[in-house]
Amino acid sequence: MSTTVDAHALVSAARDLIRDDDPATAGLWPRAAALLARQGLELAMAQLWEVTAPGLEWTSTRCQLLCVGDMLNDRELGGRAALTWQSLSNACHHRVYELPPTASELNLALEMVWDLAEAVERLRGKIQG
Amino acid sequence: MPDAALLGLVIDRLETHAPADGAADLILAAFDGAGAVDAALHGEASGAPASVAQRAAGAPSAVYLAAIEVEGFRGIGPPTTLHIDPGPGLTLVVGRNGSGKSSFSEALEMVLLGTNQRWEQRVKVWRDGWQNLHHRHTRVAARFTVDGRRQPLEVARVWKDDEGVDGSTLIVDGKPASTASLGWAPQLAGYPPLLSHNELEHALDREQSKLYDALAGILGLGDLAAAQQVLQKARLSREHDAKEARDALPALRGLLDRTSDERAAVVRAALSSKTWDLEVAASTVGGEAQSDERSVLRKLRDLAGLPVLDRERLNAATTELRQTHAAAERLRATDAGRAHETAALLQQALDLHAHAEGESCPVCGTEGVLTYQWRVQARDQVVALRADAEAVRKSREMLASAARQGRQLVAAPLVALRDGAGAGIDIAPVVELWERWAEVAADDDAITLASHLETYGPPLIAAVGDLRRAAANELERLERAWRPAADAIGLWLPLGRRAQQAEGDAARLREAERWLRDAHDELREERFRPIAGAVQENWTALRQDSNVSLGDLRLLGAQTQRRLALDVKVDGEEGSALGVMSQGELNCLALSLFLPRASMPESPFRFVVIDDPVQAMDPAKVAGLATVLARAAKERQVVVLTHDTRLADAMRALDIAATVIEVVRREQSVVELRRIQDPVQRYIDDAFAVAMSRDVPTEALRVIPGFCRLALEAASSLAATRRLLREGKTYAEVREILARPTTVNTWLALALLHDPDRSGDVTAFLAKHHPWAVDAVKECNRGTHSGKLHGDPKDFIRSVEQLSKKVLER
Repeated sequence: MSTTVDAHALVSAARDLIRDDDPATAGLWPRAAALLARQGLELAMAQLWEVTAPGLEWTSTRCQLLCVGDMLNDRELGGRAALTWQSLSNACHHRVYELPPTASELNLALEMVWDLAEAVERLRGKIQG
Repeated sequence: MPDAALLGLVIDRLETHAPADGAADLILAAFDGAGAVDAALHGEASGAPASVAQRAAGAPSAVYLAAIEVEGFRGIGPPTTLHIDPGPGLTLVVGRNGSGKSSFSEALEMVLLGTNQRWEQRVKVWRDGWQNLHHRHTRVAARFTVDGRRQPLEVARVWKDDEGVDGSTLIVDGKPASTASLGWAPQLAGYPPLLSHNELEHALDREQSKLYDALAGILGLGDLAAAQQVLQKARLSREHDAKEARDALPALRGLLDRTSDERAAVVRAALSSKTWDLEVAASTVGGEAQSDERSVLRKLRDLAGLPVLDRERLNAATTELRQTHAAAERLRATDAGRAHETAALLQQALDLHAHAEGESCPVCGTEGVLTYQWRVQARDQVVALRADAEAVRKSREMLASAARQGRQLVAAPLVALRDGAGAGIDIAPVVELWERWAEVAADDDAITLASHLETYGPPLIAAVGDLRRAAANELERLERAWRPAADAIGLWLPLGRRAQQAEGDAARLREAERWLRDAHDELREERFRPIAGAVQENWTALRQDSNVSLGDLRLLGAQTQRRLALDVKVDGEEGSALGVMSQGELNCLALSLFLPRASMPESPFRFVVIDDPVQAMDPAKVAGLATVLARAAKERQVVVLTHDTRLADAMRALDIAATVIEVVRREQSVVELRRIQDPVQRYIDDAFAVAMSRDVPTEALRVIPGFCRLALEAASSLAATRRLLREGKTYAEVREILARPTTVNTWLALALLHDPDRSGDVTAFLAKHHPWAVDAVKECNRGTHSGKLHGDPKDFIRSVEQLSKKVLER
């Protein structure tokens, strides 16, 4: 299993799942894409803490989400991250009465994760470079 | 064509509940239409309706749904097929709003009904969006299994590219066909097998009569109601005829009242009684009527026809009298009697002399007188004497005859004249003349008689002539005065005759109508009872904790008064049926009403497709709905489309067997359908599918722990639900408990330790009972977030599958 995977790669993989009319993933792709998207979101956050606040990755996800906006100096992006994580979590847990997310919901979430990953990369570039 | 089974019932009932005379024919004729009723009224016996023999009743061939195929329609792009197991059972098609699931029911509706009225009523946006955006070639089809057919029946609608929604072609078994060729139209209307959410939501908003129609249709009494209407129409037309005649009567009576003619009173009386005596009226107007002795008209007619003395006869009689009298005068000197006797004496003498000798007279004794010469003379004398006597006799006879004739003239009866009194004509002068004319003494001689006749005859003739003319004039005057009334009655009489016939007919029709109405009401009650029972059963299951209870349910009234009577009690108090119910309750009630309708044995459709009945229902009612649907699914193929998993979850919790098909829609309107036995198995299968696939990118393998965790959570949820329901918790309470777990450990704590708060004890519990599962659960928790997995993914998935089974066994 690859350990060098980054959030962008996870988002791309999730997008492929949604887009490709592949019988192998028929029916399972919505939850699979949601799982990948959430992993991407959490990975992006972990990479953020690596350069800004090491140790924050050990706190609860709720706590981490509250810090995203401040750390990136982009409260709007932080808010979107919290909302997206919440909706993805619903898809990643078994909820009575919940059906898998739709393609458009997933695309919206993936867009957010992609934006977050880019913002994190920019910041890391600035700090490291 | 009337329903043969229904006609059979009617014919049987005619024997047990015989209607009044003459109505039975009408009742049967009413099933064959207005023409047959008219014929029956005219006495043309129709016997049993023609159609009885034509159609044998039989259960319709059962039709089950096998598949719905959709391409380029609504939310579905590339061809997609929804396979459904034909036969009784429950199939849930679950998909998020926008997943395309409703497109299947809309496609089925399009296949069966085409663009119908319901379609027209939809908003324009909907109508314009009938074709899929991503796929511009459109075809919808349904496959049915039909009893008695080896191959499924395929019914499709296809559109040429760029064709409008109305431009579809119906294809049955691969060949273009008409909607009529399927022969399903009446059943589709009577037992609609498609219930959309919209229909359920608005079913009870509609007017009472519509609600009545929606339910009464299934009772199969339409022919009975139609027959009633045929009779009613016939009766109304007859009542109209009768009314027309009756309405004209007051004016006619007024005219008669203003007419002083004696006939007016007769006609007035004939038309005043309850049953008109039209014969009297007709003959009075026509003049054929026999009138009594007091009738002025009769008197006048008699006077006008009074016999007049014939002037020529009068002249002849007087001439005869005078001539015979003169002739008699001339013979006055002749003593006819003496001549006769003398002739007789001489003849005797001659006879005596013929036998005696001598010429002496035996009377006086004179000698020599009775000579031959004497004999010759005597013989001549006898002849002459006899001729004299004969002439006298003849003359007397002629005189007597003339006198007799003269007397006969005066002796003509006066009755008609005397009876003519009181007719408005002065008859006194004529009577006086006549009396004087009749005064002839019995011993008047011929001359006296002749001069009596000559004196009184001519004035009498003139007077009678005047009288006759006066009477005729009077008659004509009366006739002129009477004519308007007579003409009016003459014009009215045909109306009156028709009305009399019509009233008789109307009475028979009324009786036939009454009989049919009673039969209809009784049959309606009889047939509706089991449906009402099913409705109540459904409501009892569906209402759950609703405080609204449903009492008696009846179809009442007819025509504009028809309605569905719903007795509703709220917390035991009588309430207005629908006002007190929530939308969810109304939906439940509508479903309670319509499920039995779609399940009638008379319907060929053994399937019913219900689109999203769950909306607006609270969870407790969803459980009730699951029960109701399961009950219906014992006999029918029930397909339910629903936008969330509440119904599926409720069925799993209540252990109701159902096939669940999940609908998901990829981009470009690619719609996928998956059969799911239970969610646990589905997640396990998904995890395996990713693990085994060679085409899936390596990043995708990171989702395996996530699917495994979902499987454990789903198993815990299902196990906990079943246990809690067994323990007597309500569905609402169960739902509340199920909302609490957030992590796999809390789920497992709820399922294994019966307490979600004991998540910390789960690992210890597993270590004790299922040690092999401890690592698997850890991997689930970690790997879901990190995507990392240690060891063989397949072994990991198998452990999770094993643990899921253990959880469900508890």
